[in-house]
Amino acid sequence: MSFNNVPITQIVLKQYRYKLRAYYQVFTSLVVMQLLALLFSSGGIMTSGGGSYGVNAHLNTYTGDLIIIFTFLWGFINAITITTKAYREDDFLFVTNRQSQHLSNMLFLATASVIGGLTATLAGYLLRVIIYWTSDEATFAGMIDDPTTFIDPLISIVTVALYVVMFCAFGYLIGNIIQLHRLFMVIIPVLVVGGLLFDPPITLKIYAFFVGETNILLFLLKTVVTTVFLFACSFVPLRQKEVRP
Amino acid sequence: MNVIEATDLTKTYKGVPAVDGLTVTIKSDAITGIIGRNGAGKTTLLKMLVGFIKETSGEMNVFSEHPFNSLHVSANSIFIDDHMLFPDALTLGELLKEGERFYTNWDMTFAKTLFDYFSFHPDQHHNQLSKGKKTTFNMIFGLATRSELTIFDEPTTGMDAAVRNDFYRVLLKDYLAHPRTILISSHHLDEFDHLLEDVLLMDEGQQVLHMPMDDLKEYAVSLTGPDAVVGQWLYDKTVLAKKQSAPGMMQAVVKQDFAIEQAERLGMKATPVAASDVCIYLTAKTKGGIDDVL
Repeated sequence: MSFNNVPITQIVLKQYRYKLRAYYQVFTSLVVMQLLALLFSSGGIMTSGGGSYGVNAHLNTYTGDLIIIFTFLWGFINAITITTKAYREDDFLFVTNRQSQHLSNMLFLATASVIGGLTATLAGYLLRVIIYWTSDEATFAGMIDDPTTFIDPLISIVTVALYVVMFCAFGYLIGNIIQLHRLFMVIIPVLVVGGLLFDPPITLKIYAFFVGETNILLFLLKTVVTTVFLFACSFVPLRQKEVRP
Repeated sequence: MNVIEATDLTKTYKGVPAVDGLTVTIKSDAITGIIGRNGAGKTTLLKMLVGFIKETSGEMNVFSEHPFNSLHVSANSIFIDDHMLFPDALTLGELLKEGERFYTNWDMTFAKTLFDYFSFHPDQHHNQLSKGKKTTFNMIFGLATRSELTIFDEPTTGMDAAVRNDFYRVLLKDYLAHPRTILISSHHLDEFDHLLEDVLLMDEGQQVLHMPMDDLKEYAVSLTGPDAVVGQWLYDKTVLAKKQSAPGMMQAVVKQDFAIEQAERLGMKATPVAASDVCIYLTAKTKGGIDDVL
């Protein structure tokens, strides 16, 4: 008998490359989400105005925040999607076990997040360009937060990518828990909504914990540790899950 | 060497046993047929062997490893049936390429030759194929992996007669060129009994018999003769089936653990019983048939 002896790292890399090819819909949905966000943002997200003494002032504010929020949503939904039965069982056509499956999924999600962060940042600049060309020069008030150095967009890409991968890790864990039992599809939203009603609101605290962090290194540490923790927890729910039972 | 060793293997679904205390060993480099009626536990056993599902109790080793969650078993085995779902995003051509990347023994020339012979197109998608074409593609995929443990679960479902014959020929030729452990499950033995070296007959999750094909062919004999003669002859024999073939005449299928000449001397006519019929008799429900229910 001639056995194939394959180390897990090699299988994980093979699965990762397979996923980049087979899950291309993930990237088409990214394009659709960001184009939609661009469309919604180009109308201006905030309009304020007022007038007195015969002078009327009207201010339209434009921001790329929506693009980033949509990218978070995209990461979250995709992470849940790849935990569904069809995706999980596809892996078992080829060489896999449950650990290599999780590891390759995580590598894939991390890659997707970097691409998501990159395109979200660039789409933000695209929005600026669109606003610049479409608005009337006479009433154009100017840009805030104009990138002055090359490092600014880079920080933006890294930050968004980290947020996206954190949302992916969160979605991946939730997806795995839901696959364990359908009932969690009800329980988890209830917990999230409950968290909003809780006093003091936990969700606000979580928001402040990450968004309120001004030190980039601390932020890096917080997001990376959270992501690793969430991913590590994802190994637990489906340990004993059977394929095509 | 034994590829598969199972001891008191049990798998229950919601308390209902699918495989019930099965103890079996399967030797390497042989084609073994897993035969049994619907619900005999064939598929459950095979899925446990490749680590898809986990046994409820008992012990099981494949390549001396517990298959559930084993990368080693996954890398050296393949499970082929008609429910395989390939990712929609990839074309058939791309699926073969993925197979080549994952399975180190993959034989691309072999895969391509069969792919063309059965007139597949590389740009087709698996979900667009007809049922028979799907099983044919699955068969090509399974054989091309050259896995040390290759399992076919009801492989010919949906194939037409010509493709079915081709499949058995391909399987045999490929096995002779690259001997490995092949398991084929089916509920009818007759169409591929010439391939098999061993037969494992299952019923209600248990092993009924496990023996070389050649022994199974001589397992039983059919005796025909006058009621009284046959009736007396049967009293210390293992009777698998009996019926009245004509008024006053009885035909009985008995386990062949005696010299046929003895029976023939008493005026009974002995005829061999085909292996597939032996399987049917051995797994037949003893009390009545469908006619007794309706």
